[in-house]
Amino acid sequence: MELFLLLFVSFLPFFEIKDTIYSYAYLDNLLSNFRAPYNYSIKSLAFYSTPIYSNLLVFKGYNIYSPSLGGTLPEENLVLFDGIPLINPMLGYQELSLIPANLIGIAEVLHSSSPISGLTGIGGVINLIPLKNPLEVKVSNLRKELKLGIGPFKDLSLTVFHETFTDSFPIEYENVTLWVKNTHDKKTGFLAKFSQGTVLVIKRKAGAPGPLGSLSTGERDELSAGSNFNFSLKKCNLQLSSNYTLQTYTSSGTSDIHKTLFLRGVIKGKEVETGANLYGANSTKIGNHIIPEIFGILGIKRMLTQKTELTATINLIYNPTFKTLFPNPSISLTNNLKFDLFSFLTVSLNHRNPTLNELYWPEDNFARGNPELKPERSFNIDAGLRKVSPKSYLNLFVFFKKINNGILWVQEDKYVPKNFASLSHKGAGLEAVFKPRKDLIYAEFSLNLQDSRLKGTPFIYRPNLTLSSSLGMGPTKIELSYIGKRPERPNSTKMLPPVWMINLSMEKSFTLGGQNLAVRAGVENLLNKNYEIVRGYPLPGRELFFEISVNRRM
Amino acid sequence: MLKKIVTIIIVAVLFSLIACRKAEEYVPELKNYLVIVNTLSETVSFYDLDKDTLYEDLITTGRTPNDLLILGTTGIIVNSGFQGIPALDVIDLSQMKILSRKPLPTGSNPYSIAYMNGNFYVTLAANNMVYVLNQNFLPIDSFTVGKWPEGITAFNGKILVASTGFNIQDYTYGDGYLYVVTKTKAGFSKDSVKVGKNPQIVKIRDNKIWVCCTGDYAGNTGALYIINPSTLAIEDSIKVNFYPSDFEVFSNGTVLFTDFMNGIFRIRNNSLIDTVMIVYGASRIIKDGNTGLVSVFNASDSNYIFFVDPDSNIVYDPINAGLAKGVGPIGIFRE
Repeated sequence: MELFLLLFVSFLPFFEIKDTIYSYAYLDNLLSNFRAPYNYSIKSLAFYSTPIYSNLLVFKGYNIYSPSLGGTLPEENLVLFDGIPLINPMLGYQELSLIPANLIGIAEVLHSSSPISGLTGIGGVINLIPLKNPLEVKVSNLRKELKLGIGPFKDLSLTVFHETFTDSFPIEYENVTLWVKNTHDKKTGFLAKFSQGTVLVIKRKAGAPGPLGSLSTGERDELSAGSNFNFSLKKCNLQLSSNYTLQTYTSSGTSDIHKTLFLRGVIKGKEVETGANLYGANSTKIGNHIIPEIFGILGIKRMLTQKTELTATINLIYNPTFKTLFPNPSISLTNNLKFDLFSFLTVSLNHRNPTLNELYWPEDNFARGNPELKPERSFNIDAGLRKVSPKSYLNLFVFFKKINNGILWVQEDKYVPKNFASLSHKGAGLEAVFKPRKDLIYAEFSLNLQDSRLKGTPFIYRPNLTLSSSLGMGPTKIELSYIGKRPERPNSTKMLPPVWMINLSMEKSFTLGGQNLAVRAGVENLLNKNYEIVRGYPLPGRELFFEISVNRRM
Repeated sequence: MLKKIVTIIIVAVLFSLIACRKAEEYVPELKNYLVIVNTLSETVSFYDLDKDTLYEDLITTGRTPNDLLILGTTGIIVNSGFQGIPALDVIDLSQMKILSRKPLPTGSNPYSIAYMNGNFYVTLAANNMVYVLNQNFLPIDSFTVGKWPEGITAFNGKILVASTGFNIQDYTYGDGYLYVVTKTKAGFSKDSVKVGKNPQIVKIRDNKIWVCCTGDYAGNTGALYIINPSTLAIEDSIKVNFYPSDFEVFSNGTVLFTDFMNGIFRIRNNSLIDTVMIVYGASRIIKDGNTGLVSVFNASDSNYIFFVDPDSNIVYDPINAGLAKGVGPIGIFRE
């Protein structure tokens, strides 16, 4: 096991990553489920319009992005930013368009249904890792960005950022030319990194247009402040995390204010963890609600043979609001087949609590919450083979998730969330990275086959086939993503057409005044198609960009 | 040799006979179909009433199908266009194929369609108007009719429009009106009569105008209005303690109506209301002879078409129209 982790960590510099889920787990030497190898991938995010990373599909609306791992619902995924749990208790997840695109350099994805120390994530975990280039200026026909990094001064490095997106763009839709309006999005904030933790603050003002054909539109003013700190104590480690969100949504002259707070404290010993989570909201819609939760994790790790290791954890989570005590067990077997070839198998149970919106949304013209909701339960199997070497990385995996009591908003006279769904997701994938010659050529390839079903019928928006690939040749980078056709409506033959996204860029590096500078120009969505990842939200067409950065990393 | 030739001839004759039988099987049969528009799956299913067989999802519609008009072998579906572009789908019902899709103004939220003297009339609810389209579905004219018009029909050279008074900004309902519009040389002349809250449907039955007011879903329940088409005088109104979503009038004046949350109900003697069936999702009603056909919507479970005898109040032979289809408008197509 250690050998595998050592190999993996030694492999990480290939991606130039320091703070990863894996490195956290390894360096902390703590009992989180990350210690066992799961389906795992790292993607460098060089383009904005990339819709798919491994089997992470981002459902893009207008100023609303929702993550789905392996076909799961956005509420079933955990999003971290550099370790900060971006949890919005009303939504159940943090919509991703809040995070400035120019701040994210890498996404690491754990395609597994393991809870991180009591945080549920039936679908898995997405950790967004910032780039550390001190200066970046980017302009395109759709957006403008500026990022400035200062430090480190003693223990602190600070990055300030500003990003704007256009207020309208044209689309070609069913042979009709339309303008999508009120799409403006202005984000300003800072990221502070200390030796013991991270703070991220984002202020945003964005339009909130509805889908095509919708008569409603609005404005969102948002503030998000998250933090994550780790303190080493004598025989244990203390982790404190928080995430605060404030959103003012204005539409038709009326405003709603939603404040949410997530707090988390964990004490981690060698084989035991214990802690508490607090999910709170103060909203003009749902009122005041606080849901506390306490948990304890116990784990063992044993070498069964010289090459086979067993890791078993049991995560006991008590929630007084739902009067539930969930023992979420996870059993993993890893086997070192050869020097650099490993197999893994994990079987686990997990759960997701209803979100505060799902529970308490008051009856309005469209929807009402359901206070009778119960938590979802999931049964999960992940297995695979992984080959790690200094110049290549191969991962072949299969997964299966069965979710009972699944919560979905059902259309009745109004939309009502119900525990009616039996959802299943199964799939297989191949990920490969090759870097035969340093800095000159590299290739990333990911192929995913998947079948997601709701009560036996294909689940909407979930494709059977996705593909993402990147090819770098010296200064040139080409990226091709494909999302296969996917159900547009429940139990229907109606399909959203496939997505072919092609992005490319050229980069020139040089030294000026002792600084490594890079100039990059490129085009996103080369085919200039207005793809609908989510029905009713055709996305912008071709984007031409120009970027200057200092110490940009590939 | 002769044996061989005879054998070949026999085999050839047998083959040709088989071929004839095959060919006979492809002779088009007279069709007796129920046309089912699935509003959630956005498809059209056909139910063969003779063979008791459902042909599911043979056609995909535009986005948010809301109304169906059948004229001879042509079916026209009004797609309101939420999450897309509003459009009319023109369908060849005999071939069960879509012929064309005709776009309507973006964001206009078309609701319903009527046909008169070679022209089509479509209510554009969000534009507070009715579009007039020619035989090729090209717009040739338009007229305004109150606020948020929904139901529409034609009678005696006039277009009747139910104007709901709906306000999209605050989701309230103002006064509801029935508009009677006549094409003149100068343009359009309009008469109107005030009815109850949220008039969504207008039909002509027994030479009377029937208007179904659904109510505002907030305490003001619905009513059916019977209006004299000549004088526009309200001859009768039947208050119902529900929010009716559709209705149909049968012999002896028996009325069936649906309430989405509560079920199917019957009115006799213009006042007595009794329950036909308590069921969630009861939406559209059509009449086939003296039988009522009711579509029962469900977004997560099985959808049904119920047959209702308005005299005996019996529901019989439900058709399972599929899982999570969201059945809505239905119609009968017979050759």
